[in-house]
This record gives sequence, C-alpha cells and structure tokens, in this order.
Amino acid sequence: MRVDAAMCILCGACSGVCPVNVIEVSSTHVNIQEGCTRCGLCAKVCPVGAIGFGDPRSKRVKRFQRRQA
Amino acid sequence: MKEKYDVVVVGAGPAGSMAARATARGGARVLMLDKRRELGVPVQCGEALNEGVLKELKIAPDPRWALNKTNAVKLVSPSGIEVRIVEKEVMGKIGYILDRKIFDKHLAILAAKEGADVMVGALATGLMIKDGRVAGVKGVGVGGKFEFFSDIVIAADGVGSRVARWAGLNTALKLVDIESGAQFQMVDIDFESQTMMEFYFGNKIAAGGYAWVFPKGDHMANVGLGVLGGRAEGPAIDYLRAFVEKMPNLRKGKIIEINAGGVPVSGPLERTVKDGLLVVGDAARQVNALTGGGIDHAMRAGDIAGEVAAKAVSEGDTSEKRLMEYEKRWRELMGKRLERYLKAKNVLVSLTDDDLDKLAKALSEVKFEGISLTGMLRVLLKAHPKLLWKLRGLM
Repeated sequence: MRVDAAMCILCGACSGVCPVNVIEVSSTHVNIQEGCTRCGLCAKVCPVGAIGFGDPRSKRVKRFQRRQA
Repeated sequence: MKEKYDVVVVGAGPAGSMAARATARGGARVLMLDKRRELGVPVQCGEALNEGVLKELKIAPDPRWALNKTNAVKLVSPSGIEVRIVEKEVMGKIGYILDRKIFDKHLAILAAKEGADVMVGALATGLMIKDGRVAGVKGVGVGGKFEFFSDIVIAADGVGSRVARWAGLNTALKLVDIESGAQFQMVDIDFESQTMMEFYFGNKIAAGGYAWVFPKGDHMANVGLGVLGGRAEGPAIDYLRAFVEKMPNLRKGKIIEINAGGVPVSGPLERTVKDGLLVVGDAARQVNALTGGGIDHAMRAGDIAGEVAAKAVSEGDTSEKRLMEYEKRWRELMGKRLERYLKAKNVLVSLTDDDLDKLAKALSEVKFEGISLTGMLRVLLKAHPKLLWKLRGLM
C-alpha cells in the first residue's frame, strides 16, 4: 500500500481497520510495517483517499477506490 | 530512557487525561505518553459535548475551549423536511461546541496538576511483556528510544487502537463498524441560529451516516459528515465537498481548517481488561454508535479506569481479575445505553431515503413533550405503521 504524505491527515482510521495491526501512525507520517496482506481496507476507510495500491493521487487509483468502496 | 512507573497511559485524549488524572489522584505514580507533539492536534472530531459530563467530573467550563452553547437541534431529511427540537425537549441538555485543541490540552494540564507525568512527542511502538503479561511500554520519541516498565498500562490510543492488540485483545474494526469522517471549519457562512446544531440525513449526502453543521461562533461552524465504511462510494471528503457545494449558505464560505478521522461504531469491546492492561475511550470502542459521540464516554471510562488502576496498584494486585472492577463499573454506567444506541444506529442505516423522509414528515407534524427514543418511536409508529417492521430492532 502507498500513502501520500501530502494528502494524509494522520487520523489513524487506517490503523483501526487493519486486520494485522501493521499500520503505525506517528505524528508526522504513516508507516506500513512488515506483514501487510494488501487487503485494501485502509484504502477504503481513508477519509481523504490518501492510501492506495498505487499512487493515491492518480485518477486510476481514485476510480478503483470508488469501485471498491 | 528507562524508568519504572506504577501506571503508564498511552494517549492523551480525553480518555487518557481523565485516566491519568484519576490515577494520580489515587496516589499512584503515573506517566501519560502521546505521540503528538501538540496535544489536541490534529482535530478528529465534530467537537460537540453535553455539559453533563463536565459537571460529573468537576471540570468548570471555560470560554477558551467551550466556544459556544447550543440548546436546539434541527434534523433535515433527504428531501429537506425539517424537524426542530428545542432544549426542554432534548432532556434539558445543553451542549457545548468545543475547541478540542484547547480542551485536550486543558484536560492534560488537569492530569499534570494532579501529579501525572506527561511526555509528548512519544510514539509507543510496542509493549514490554514479562512472564506472559503486560509489563510496560516501549517506543520512540523526540528524545530517542524509551522503555517504561509499569504494573499497569492504560490503552487510550484512540480509534487506531494498537496497544490493546499488542496485548492480545482483538480491537480491529470491520469496515461496516467504522464511520469515516471529514470536516471543514468554515467562516463567512450563514446558518439559522448560533444555538442550533444541524443534522442532515440521506444516503446521497452521507451514506450510512449524517452531515452536521455545529456553530462555533459568529458566522463560523464545523461543517462535517461521516460515511459508513462499507457504504461509501469514495472518500468522506468527496461527500463533504459535494455537501458544501449543494448548500447555498455554505458554498460561499471559506475553509480555515480541514479535519478527518475514523469513528468506531461497533459497540464497545467484549473485554476491556487483561492482566496489567485497561482499555478506555475510542480504543475500547466506547462510543455512541448512533451519533458518533465519544468524548463523554471516554472521559467517564477514563476516570473509572484511573481510579481502579490506582487502587489495584496500592493493593499489589494488577491481575485481570482485580481490574475487572473497571469493566463492571463502566458497563453499569453506560453499557446498556451504548447497546441501545448501537441498535438504533443499525436501524437508521437500514432506512432508505424514502423512509427517512416519511420519518421526518411524521416527526415534523408532532409537538413533542420531552423527547426520548421510545417516545419518538411511539409517534412514528402511529403515523407510519409500515415503518414498524424496519424499526422493530428498537423495541
């Protein structure tokens, strides 16, 4: 998963749904640790669309997130 | 840095600060950690709070953080039918619109004044485990790596809730159990009244949630919404932009702050204690699932947790069995209520826009004498017996 630091608001919603507890939200960035299963729940719950399988800024990823949601 | 405390609290939101304050008051050595370098930031909240909890916990409202008093509610259905409820009918409750940036700091100061140590810019990265039980917190912060041993850890780390999971409690939220929220603090906007909180319903406006306008002051308000994880077609902030664009009184406003966050609406955890561990607030999912409000429950639960933790430390027994007093007491205080709200939420999210309009119409035609969930339902059922089936979960 990729997190766009410019879009991320550091709210921690992603960490709350992560089934394997590998998302660390610090005071400055989101760090996806080892063990990510690429389930994509974090991307679906992100209130600002800052997480994606690819570059969260790309239109393609945005469309994917909308479809998945 | 290595040191030993009786109790370490992870997270300095309302739950954590109340827990740290009560722990210190009970005579135990307590440290409260928070990853943030500035408490209260970033705001992840609509910032509305009932005055009741402040009275109970003896916290005097201060105009620096209690920005605005509200005493009325306006509910708006998808097609625009309005239901107004004024103070006396909202069970005599007065609400405050807070400035969480100041409020959260104030609560941390109360904890510190009571004797709690506070460490900001300190991210917990794991628990210390000794003989199979929680024995402290490790992490990294502005001052480098740290390890703090303690008899009890209080997990107050909010919606992300990692600490409890490190201890073996599964707090992971399903997608349908989290509201994804976004909010603009807006200025230069119009609204009906500075004392009225506005709620807008509809699956196009906020799928499985609602939008709100909470006045913060003169021509200034928190404008936000929450969408249910499994329902939303796209990020919450896209819904919010569309909502603001649709409202003539908001469209011309200016955004001076963007907030976002997740609200757990799963109902509370099945178990909130383990040997040497207490879970409080959003981390324990102690949230009103219907409204998404969590500050008051977090503060009450935090206060109980701190009191129990201090007692357990002084008795030299911090086992799960001893700490169950916390779980028993918070469930007595708010367990039934939280369950009821959860049922009501499940009903609300099952309603179509058409149902919501019918509901609003029925409500708008009735003059309430004091409002309660059951009273409201009685009115509704008389007017729209067909809704009965959908609302049966509330009986």
